Amino acid sequence: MKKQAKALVQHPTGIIGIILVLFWVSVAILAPMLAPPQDPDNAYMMVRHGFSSLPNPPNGQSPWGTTSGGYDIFYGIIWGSRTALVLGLVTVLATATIGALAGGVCAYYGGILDGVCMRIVDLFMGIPFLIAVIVMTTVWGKGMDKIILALIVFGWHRYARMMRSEVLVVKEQEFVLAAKNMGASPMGIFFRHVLPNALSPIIILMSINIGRMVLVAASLSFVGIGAEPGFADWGQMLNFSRNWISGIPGAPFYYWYTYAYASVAIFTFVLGWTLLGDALGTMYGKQEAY
Amino acid sequence: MEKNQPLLTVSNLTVSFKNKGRNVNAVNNLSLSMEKGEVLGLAGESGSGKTVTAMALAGLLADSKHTSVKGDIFFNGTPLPTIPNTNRFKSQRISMIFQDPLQSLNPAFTVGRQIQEVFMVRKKMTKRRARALSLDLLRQVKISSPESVAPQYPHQLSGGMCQRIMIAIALAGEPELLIADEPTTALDVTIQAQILQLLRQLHHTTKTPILLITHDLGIIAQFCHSLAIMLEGNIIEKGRVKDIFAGPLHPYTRGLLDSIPILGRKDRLKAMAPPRHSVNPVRGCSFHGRCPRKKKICEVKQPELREQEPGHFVRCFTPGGLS
Amino acid sequence: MNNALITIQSLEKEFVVRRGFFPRPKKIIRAVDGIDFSINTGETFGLVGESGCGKSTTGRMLVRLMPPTSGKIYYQGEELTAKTEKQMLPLRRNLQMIFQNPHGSLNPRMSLEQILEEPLKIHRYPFSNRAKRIRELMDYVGLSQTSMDRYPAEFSGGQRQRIAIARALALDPKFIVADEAVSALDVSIQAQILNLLMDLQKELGLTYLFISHDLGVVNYISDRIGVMYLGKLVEVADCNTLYRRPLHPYTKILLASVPVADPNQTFKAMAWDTPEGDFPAPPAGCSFYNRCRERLDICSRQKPSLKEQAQGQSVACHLFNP
Repeated sequence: MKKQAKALVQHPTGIIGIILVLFWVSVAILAPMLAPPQDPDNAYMMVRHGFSSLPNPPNGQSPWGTTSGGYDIFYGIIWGSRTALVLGLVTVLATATIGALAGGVCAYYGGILDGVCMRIVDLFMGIPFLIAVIVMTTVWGKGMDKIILALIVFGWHRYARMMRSEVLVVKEQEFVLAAKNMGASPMGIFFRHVLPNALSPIIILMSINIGRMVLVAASLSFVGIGAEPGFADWGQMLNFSRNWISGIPGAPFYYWYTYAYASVAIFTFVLGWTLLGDALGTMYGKQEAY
Repeated sequence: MEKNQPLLTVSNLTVSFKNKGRNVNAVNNLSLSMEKGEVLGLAGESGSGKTVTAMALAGLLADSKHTSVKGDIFFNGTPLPTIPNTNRFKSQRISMIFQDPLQSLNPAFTVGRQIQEVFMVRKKMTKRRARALSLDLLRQVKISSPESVAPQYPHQLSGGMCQRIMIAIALAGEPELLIADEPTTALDVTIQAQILQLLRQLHHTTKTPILLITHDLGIIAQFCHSLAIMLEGNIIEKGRVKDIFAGPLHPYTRGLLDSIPILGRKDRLKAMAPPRHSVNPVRGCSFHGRCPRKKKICEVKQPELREQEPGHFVRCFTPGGLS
Repeated sequence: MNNALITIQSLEKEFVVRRGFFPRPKKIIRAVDGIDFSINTGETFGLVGESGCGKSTTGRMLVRLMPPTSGKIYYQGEELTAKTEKQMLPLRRNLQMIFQNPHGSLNPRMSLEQILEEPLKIHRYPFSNRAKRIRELMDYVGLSQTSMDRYPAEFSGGQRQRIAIARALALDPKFIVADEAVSALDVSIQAQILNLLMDLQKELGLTYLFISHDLGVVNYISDRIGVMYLGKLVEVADCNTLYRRPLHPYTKILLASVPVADPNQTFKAMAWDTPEGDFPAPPAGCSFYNRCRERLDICSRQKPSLKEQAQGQSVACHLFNP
């Protein structure tokens, strides 16, 4: 473990990834201190300064300005990091667990189970991800929980496929045969020998997918079928800035604060997890080389 | 040009790879010469640097951020640059055959086309003429029905067949030197025998010198005129195959010969001390940690390659067990 | 009753190669095509042949890593092939295996101690004696100086093979299948491992099935040798007889193809020249028919069966069984 951590730190893009990820994690944890909520029971609802339909540039009351509707941008970014992190972690942990177990067990036991399972995966592969999620959220209604559920339902099959191919390779390795030869039970072999040796690509995919899930959720919110109005969510904040992106005649960046902060937040968040995933990838690649 | 001039002279070849900020020498100040028309075996265990040497000779190693190739290689009296040079391949003075024939052939083209290409690119021949010559060449590598083999793709052919194709491609350029890197290691023993036999017959007819790299001393004994044994990036013994097998001078060579099970003999093998599991260079002779006749000097000084008997070189302070 | 530890009778293994999702004519590969032999207690039986001849499949079936399609395997008179997986469990400790690849046969995520402890755990070896047993095992294979919390990647190929041998010895087996156990090792290490296996055999009274493509190695370690070709056992003889007086044409070719590490012995294969290519065997006849230089008329029509020719030497060839 120590060695792996060292290898990760030596990886230059890995360091950037770790720094960005750590930054957003600490922002999310410290959110109540950085931006104290007005109503602690409803902290995820963005603070509003009036109801003006015009955005307000940064001022003493709202350090990064407000969006149309008077939502405080600083507050939204800080609490939005929590939304992003929770959304990313929950969806990825759920999809990875479901997918890895399904794919792993199917590949390990093989036969009809594998055939049926993989046809189901094929079915899910054939459904356009974004459209499916849009349909689901329109049926169920708005809300972060519904987005998360939709992302899980239409995301697990990637892990299942990856896990399946990994397990198919690992289960043919001689140490698995050796365990069988000792008399180890199939379950014991699966959890002790097969799973630990098949997990590394899953972990890489998870890291990359945390960013990706946040990106998808943001685009859903941006088109207006994501979070409920006023919920601290970066995608929604971009949605609020839609009408102001082009500025005013002669000053195209007049309302820059409506989109700049949220864009940078999404960009750095996604970049962080992706770089971390890449670094994990090269690290595990190197590990396997010897 | 002088008649007795060696075909290939390598002096002070050093190849090092940079790994995690450390330089690891795969080939360490190696010098070697090869006569015209000779079959030279380069033997050694895994990690001894034999393949890296061959790749450096064939110009397949780039002097780059991670690799450094130093030293002089003279081929027929003219220097070969140690940096990769496409011209060297265009003129095709050195051809190489690799261990895995299926991986060295392009899976997207028929084998016939891959041989033709050599004629068309290197000799600027017309397609028709190249086709005729390539069928000829297939016959030369003992493929009985070249017309039916030429239109096949590599994956449709067996390993032994693919290795014949590789040999045909290597010969198409009429090389002045053929480097064969473990050419039969991936093959079954009966197919190996056929390929070795083929190489031997081709050597008889074309007189193309062959540098054969292998870990199998049996192949060396049956196939090569002279032999160089590598250990940790350096040649520790060199001479005629008969001399070395009859009286190895280096304790490592002695140990190697004693650890091979020979068909028909059942006397207990004398196992050598295991190789050290480290890439750090050692002071003194690289074998001293495993040597049964180690002396004080071996730990401090690296012995030079000296001519102990006529034509028989060894890098040892106590050659042949002299004390 | 003879002293056979393992006896196998008309053992067969077929692999079905399914092509695609839709039912199509299946292609059946007969990896092992009806072989019989027995291995005596305390001896080393060598199984030699080229890739794809079914020697590894045979080895795996003997330790029940793979069920045979048909045929019977007896261990000390007990029919293994009739046992359920549950009934096999107590027997498994007697039947162990050493694999070819020292890099692949050890779980890279387990430490040396965990690797050696696993078989003891599975077979409920008394907890208090485990540490002692592990040390004893490491002594056996000459790894006593090694620290126990290192991982396979930190060991060299030879050391890893020693660990694999120690693991196989953990449960005090009677019979060990060594499948190409030294093929991936350099010659100097190979000699050590071969000697180690022979010493352990003497010390612990082991019986080996030694599978290898390397005739020199098999000849060195074995008492008796079986030669396989395309799923058939074509010749069985004791080691010296096989080398001095091979009967089957394939055995002769195999022996002649080995480049001997002695420049004074000439390479006999020079005289041997058969066309290269795939050799589809005539369905009714001998599987070696197409490559055979001494073939008879009958060879294309009838499969030869393994018959004893001389004391301890059996061959499956029509030349000797008219």
